[in-house]
Amino acid sequence: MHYHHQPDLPAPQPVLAAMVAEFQTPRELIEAARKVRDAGYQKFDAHSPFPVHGIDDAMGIRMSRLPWFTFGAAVFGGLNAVGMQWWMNTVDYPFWISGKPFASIPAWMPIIFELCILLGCFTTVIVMFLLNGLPRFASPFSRAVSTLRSSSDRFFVSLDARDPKFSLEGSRQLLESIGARHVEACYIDPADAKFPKALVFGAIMLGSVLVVPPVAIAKHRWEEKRIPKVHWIQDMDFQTKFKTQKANKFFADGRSMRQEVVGTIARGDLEDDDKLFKGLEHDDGTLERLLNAPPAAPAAPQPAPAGGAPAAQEPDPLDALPWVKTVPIPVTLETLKRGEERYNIYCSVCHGIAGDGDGLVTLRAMELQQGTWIKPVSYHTENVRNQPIGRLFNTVTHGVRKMSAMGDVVTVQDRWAILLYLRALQKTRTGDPADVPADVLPELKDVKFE
Amino acid sequence: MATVTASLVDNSIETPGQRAPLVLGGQDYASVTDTVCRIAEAPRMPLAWYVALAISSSLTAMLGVVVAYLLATGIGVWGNMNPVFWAFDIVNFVFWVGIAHAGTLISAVLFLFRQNWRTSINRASEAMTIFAVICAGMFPAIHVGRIWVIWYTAPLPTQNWVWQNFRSPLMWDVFAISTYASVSAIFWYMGMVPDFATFRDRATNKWKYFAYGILSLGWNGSARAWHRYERAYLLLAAMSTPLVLSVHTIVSFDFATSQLPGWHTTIFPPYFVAGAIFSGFGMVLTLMVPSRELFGLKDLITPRHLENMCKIILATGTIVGYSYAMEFFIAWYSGSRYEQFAFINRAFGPYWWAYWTMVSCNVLSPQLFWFKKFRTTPWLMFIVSIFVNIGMWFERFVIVVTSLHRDFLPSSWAYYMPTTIDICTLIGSFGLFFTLFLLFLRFLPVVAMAEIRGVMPHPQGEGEQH
Repeated sequence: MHYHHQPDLPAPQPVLAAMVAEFQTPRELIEAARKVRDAGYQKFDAHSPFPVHGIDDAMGIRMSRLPWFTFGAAVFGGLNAVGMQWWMNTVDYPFWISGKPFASIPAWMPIIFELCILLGCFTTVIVMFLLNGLPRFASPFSRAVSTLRSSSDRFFVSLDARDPKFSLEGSRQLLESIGARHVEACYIDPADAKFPKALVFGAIMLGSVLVVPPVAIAKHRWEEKRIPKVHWIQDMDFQTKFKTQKANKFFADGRSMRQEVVGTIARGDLEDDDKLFKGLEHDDGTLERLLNAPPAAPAAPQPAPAGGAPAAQEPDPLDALPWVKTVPIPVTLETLKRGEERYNIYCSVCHGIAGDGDGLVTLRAMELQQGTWIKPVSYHTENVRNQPIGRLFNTVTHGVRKMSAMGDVVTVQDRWAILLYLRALQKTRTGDPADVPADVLPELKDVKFE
Repeated sequence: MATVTASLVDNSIETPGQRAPLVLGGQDYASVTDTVCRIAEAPRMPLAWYVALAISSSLTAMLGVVVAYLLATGIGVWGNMNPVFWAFDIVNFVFWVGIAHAGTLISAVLFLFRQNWRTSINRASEAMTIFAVICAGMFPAIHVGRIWVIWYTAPLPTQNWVWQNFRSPLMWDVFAISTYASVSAIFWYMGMVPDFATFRDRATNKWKYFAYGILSLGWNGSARAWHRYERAYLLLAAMSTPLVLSVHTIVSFDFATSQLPGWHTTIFPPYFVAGAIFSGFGMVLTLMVPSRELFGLKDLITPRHLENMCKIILATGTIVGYSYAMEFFIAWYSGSRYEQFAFINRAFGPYWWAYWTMVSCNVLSPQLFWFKKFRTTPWLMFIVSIFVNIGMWFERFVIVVTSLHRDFLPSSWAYYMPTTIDICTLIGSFGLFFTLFLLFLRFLPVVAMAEIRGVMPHPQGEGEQH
């Protein structure tokens, strides 16, 4: 690995790259270019501070292929625009706007046009530079000493040393014979044409440093964290607003949640149908008073009412209210099915699928024998069967004993549907063939009961 | 050497049978190079440049502050309010986009029409175009309030999996403005490459050599390269010409495709394009008249150039005046009460002052250019160009605000007034524009040297006519 230091290897020598000749006017340049071409040179070029018209003929420059690239790019851009708009707006994400057609060529035209132009222009410029061999770090021509004025007010012809006709003396003589003011042989050091290493290194270093922030962000986003992540763009994630249980200094009672203003009813809370909402034929406020009455002093501990021996000592004041006897919503098969579905979701876990008070929760609670569970009453007891349906609705709504109030959980329509199903369940134990329409009766003969 | 009769100083006089020279003062190739390069090579700029930069960069800093305040606080810092939901943001956007039209018009349309006088002013106008587009593009970007989601306007595949509605003129706007900005930029850059090569070849220190060397891409004026370069220039001009006309057409669709009286009109596309050219040339004059004085460019940007621009301003200003009249005629002719109300209200309603400012600046002031004295006296045309700028800003204000402030529902009628932040943003955008332009004057080739050399009379009476 020490051959770098071997003294006998020669350093790279500058090599002859081109011969450049200076002319003073555009006309001299055109004449010179024509003569160089006539002398049989092929690898040669003319250099001028502005496009000299007429030199294309003299040098034999053929029409550029550039327009074909432009045309292809413009067509490609237009087709892309059609495809993009068609796929995005008719296939992948159609927008309904006033019944207008999804595929609308007139409405797509502006973007088709713009993409034609965009791709056409960029392709034209980029391909033009590439065909010209640009960008280029250094060329033999630009390394010559005398060519600096080629970008200001002088005109040059350059002969490439790779041309078969090229020779140091012959080419110089040719250029001098066609009126060049100054001829210079131009050498290029192969090492000189390379991009400086320090710059390459600097660019790599800068690029590496620039990669760090996005990588750090990606890592931060990807990782799971115990603490909240940095939230740069808050949007509406954190709002200055009062949340339900937050303390609030603004109000005297220190609470964010507000009571209804006295004498007002919140939207949707106007329950003005006694039959539907309370299960009463008419209500004079007695029900509310009874429900809001402070609970009586706990009675002496008594055995759990097993198997329906209701304490007959005190009459329940609720018994005296005018409960409705029929369901105040339309009775249809759909309502009944809805009631079945809701019953099985909300009620059967305690009351059992058939309403015997043997749901899974009840069975488990009795098994635990904690003494705090009160077994639900079976629907098939005399007491429950005889209760007006309005009274049962009240029980479902407000709860009773250990049963919690379901009024906030099940909508009023669904509560009535559930009660309709409850009546159907009761009928399964007390039903009589005479209750069944004669044409349905034969079907029931095949039903097997367990 | 290429010389012009030195005694000829006024090239705005038509001499039958002879083309008026476009370069004065006995200039030749070398002196053109010197004249232009001197600006970027001078160790110090004129005092006026430093004063101007100090003012404009302070205004740019103010723009940064108000935009940061806007983004941190929300759109409520502006005066936009029901029913004027579009206000200064869109007014300024349309104003700056309009200004941006002159550059590409000069580079492309005048090129196709073989108007050689364009060569002295095209570079600076293109620069002006780019900077005006930057100012214009800023407004839609910040008016969404949450600028960090501005990428929603680009059809990128994201987890949202929602695509843009391509039938919306606002989407067309996104494509038109971004295409216009990028095509203008690449056109501008391509035009500068040969001049960067001149800068590189004259560089006096390593850094300049390196910077201009990179920018010039190794251009060495090869005839084969020039051949493709000219072809590319022609193709770009051919494509930019419809582009420049399409951009303000599409901007006008933002209004014209709505159903609001005062906006819903088919005259908008041509009327907007004429107004854009009008305002663009107004701004070119505003910039060029002081620049040629300050930087000794009087031989390159001659009275003839200025006069030609004045004539274009006169022509387009008259088209704009015709459009104003035609809007009233159509409102009457349509028989629509709402349309009629919108225009009567525009001229005699609460915003009468804006309307008549617009009419006096845009229709009356350019009529002064019928007089040769105004077309050939720089300070007079400078004053008129300022009026044109003011008038064109008010035109957009009138279109946007007067149409919105009294819409179909009289209960929501209101009087829009901008807030201080609105006004600071507008002023700040001028700061940004002039800062960029002043930096351009300092560091880049302000006149297209290669193109000027091409249209000069060639030495020894030879050379072909273009």
